[in-house]
Amino acid sequence: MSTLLDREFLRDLEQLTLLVRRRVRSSTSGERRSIRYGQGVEFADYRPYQVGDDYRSVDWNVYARLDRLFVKLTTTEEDLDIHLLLDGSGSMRFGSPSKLDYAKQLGAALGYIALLRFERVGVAVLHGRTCRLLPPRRGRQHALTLFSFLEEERAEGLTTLGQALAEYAAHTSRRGVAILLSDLLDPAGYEEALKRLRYGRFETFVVHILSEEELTPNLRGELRLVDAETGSTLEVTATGEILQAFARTRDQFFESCQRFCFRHGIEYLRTTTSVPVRDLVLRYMRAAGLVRGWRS
Amino acid sequence: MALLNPQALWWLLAIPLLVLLYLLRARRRELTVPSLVLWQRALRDLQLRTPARRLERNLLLVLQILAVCSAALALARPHLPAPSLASGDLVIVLDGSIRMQSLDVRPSRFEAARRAAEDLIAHTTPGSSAAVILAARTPRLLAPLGGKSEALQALRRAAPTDGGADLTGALRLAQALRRPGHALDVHLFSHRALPGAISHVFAVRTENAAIADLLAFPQPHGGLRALVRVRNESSHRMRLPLRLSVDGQEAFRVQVGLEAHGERVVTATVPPGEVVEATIDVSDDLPTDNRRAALGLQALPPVLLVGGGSSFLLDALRVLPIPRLGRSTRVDPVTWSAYEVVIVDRTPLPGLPPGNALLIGTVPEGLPVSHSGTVRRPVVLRWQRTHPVLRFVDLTDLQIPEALRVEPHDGEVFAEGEGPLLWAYEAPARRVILVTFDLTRSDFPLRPSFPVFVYNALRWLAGEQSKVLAAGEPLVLPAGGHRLAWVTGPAGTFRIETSGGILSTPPLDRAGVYRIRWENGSVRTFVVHPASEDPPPTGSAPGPPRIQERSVGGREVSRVFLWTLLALLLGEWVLYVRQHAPGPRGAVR
Repeated sequence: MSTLLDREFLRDLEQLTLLVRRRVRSSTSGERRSIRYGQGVEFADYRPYQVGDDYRSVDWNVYARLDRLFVKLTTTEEDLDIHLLLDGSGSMRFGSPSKLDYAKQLGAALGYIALLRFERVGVAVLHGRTCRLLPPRRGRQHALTLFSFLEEERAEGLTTLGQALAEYAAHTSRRGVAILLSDLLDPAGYEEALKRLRYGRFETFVVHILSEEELTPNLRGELRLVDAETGSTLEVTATGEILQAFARTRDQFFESCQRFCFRHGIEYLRTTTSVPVRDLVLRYMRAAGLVRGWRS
Repeated sequence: MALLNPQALWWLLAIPLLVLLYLLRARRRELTVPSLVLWQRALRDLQLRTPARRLERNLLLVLQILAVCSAALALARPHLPAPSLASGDLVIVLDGSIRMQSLDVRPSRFEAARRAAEDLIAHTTPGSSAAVILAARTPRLLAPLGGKSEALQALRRAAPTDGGADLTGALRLAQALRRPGHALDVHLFSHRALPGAISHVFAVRTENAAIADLLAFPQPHGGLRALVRVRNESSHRMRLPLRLSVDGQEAFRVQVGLEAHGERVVTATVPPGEVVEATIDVSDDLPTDNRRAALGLQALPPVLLVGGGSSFLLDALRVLPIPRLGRSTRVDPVTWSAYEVVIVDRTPLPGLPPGNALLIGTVPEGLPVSHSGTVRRPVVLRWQRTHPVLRFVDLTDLQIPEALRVEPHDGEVFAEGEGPLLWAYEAPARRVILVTFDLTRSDFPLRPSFPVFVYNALRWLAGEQSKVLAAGEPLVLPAGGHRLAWVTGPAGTFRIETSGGILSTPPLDRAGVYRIRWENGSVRTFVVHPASEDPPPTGSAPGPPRIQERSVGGREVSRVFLWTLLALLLGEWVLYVRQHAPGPRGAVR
């Protein structure tokens, strides 16, 4: 079916659904509870009648008891748009498997889960300041399109997350859940990018993908490090002291990512490419409450 | 602070080379990483944590530069003069040998020594006395114990000689100046240290090539056979252009390659002439010994051969231009007196008539040597290569089946093994050389140097050595009725008045050719040889030149820089290990 995910894994994914903590707003009716009150059947609240309200929503029983006009509010079941945002920059080439391949597998898995639950799933691979888009679609049949779209992606160039996501948000009228799969190694910083998603009223998930060689670089001697994205160089004598300083900086970076996401209400999960995608989805994401069993 | 070896500061030129090498050192390995973001932050963090981090990046280079500076300064031998060393009587013994003319210490060893001695005298306590002795071939008291000004004047007059120096004799003379109740400090300014004096050593290296010896003897066909001993005293291979000239005309030229501390004898046939000069055209620390002269036309004496006379001995005598060679089977005093030299070959002698004799395998009575039996297979252990009889004679591995066991009571043994093998005795109207073994039973006559030995022996026995002097020796000659003579040498011409029928010159300090012109216009030529350092007493090659360390007097602070160098190297090692220690392991998830 796809080189990204095997059949057994797909079968396991069919048992899952994405867990969205907050109610979302969409333009079409669907299975998710909307933040808007509307034409649903599930009672939500009362509010005093205002001029222009539909008479049909007035609760006449209440009027009879209290002699005041109250409008009955119901929640609307709406579609949920899942925006899979993959970082396609040159830095995602690294790792074994590469971080991009890992992101593609993870994106395919999450997209597949969402499509099974009749969510609309769209993909944007961020290249440079722009992004390559697969518009949101609904339905299981859309899975193949999703998989083939992802398989074609290659990591290249410099990606400025902030600008690419700003452009994406500007051209996307439907909000929903944005799942960013990135290493967050943006020279300009990842913070602006995540803020733009939040300000754009996206429910945001960040899966921070790293490779083992980034975590513990096995370097020795006199080196000229070349940035895979910008091509800029840095001369380093890989001594124990430098490596210790790198480890310190790396830990601070992870901590700052985590703190930033927590402060801005963003779900954050860090992983490495050495963790199988299957384990990540079925164990770690489930434990973190990002997915849950469909029947549960 | 003075530098005893300022040439070592040239090593500072290694610093730009070091910097260049640092810049051109091995290229950095390029490695592509996902992002430099974290690396840049890490480096920035490292620099913020330790402000000296930027310096530390180049600290290895800085340490290396400091190490080169320390090494150069240590080699330059910085010296802090002692402010006031002497308070009692002070005797300055100034080495006046040819070695002090060496230029390895600028402006020369002698000049530097003289300045140091002047400095020492100038710093003595007021009222102390000073004396100056020049250690030449015979010690010379230039200024007796007295005021400082006289001593300083004597020092300024002092000049190095081309000869050797009797340092031991000079120190004995210095001790003889001790006055009762006065302390005596003897300071030796030389190129080597000696016990019994406060030594100030002025020597850095031996970068020298020398003509160690030159001998020219006539050939039967009329030419001259020149033997030149060339020596390389430096610690590296040298290629020396050797030139031979006869009476000022170049007669022979060759390139001589010599290994470090090597020596070689070059032989050449040159046209006959009065003076043969050998020159090596090389620029070294001691130019004086690059030239040596020898007399070419030296007549040999009439010789009487008594006894069997081996064919080898006869051949050697026939090769040499001996004016008259007689043969006899018995000792006849009348015949004996008609010859200047008598060779007695294995013929028993009841007594030795007056005259000069070369005795081979026989010990007559009347000489200060006793004979008791024989020695089986004696091995030549020591011989004096500089003895006039053994010039250019090699006794290495000489095979002698048997030699007479003799015990000299006087004279000089100049070759010996288990007992004396060659013995020389000199007395008024008598010179004797004793060869204690039978020439026919040894391989000595088969050696190329055997005729040279016979030639040397005949000349020594005939007293011809008076025509060859060592620098620093006075010339003493029978005047033959002349009252005046003019001596012309390398230092110019001076007039000498004879006394009691003897011409006696002051010590001739300059090596070269000297000519004595008598009142009647007749001229006599002789040569003065520069001193050449004695080779080892055995037949092996000479050892490496000795470079002495300064012993006492002032304070040399090289050690401080050596310790600094050690500390710098240690620091560099620590820094290197610290920089190349393994980094932290383990992943952060």
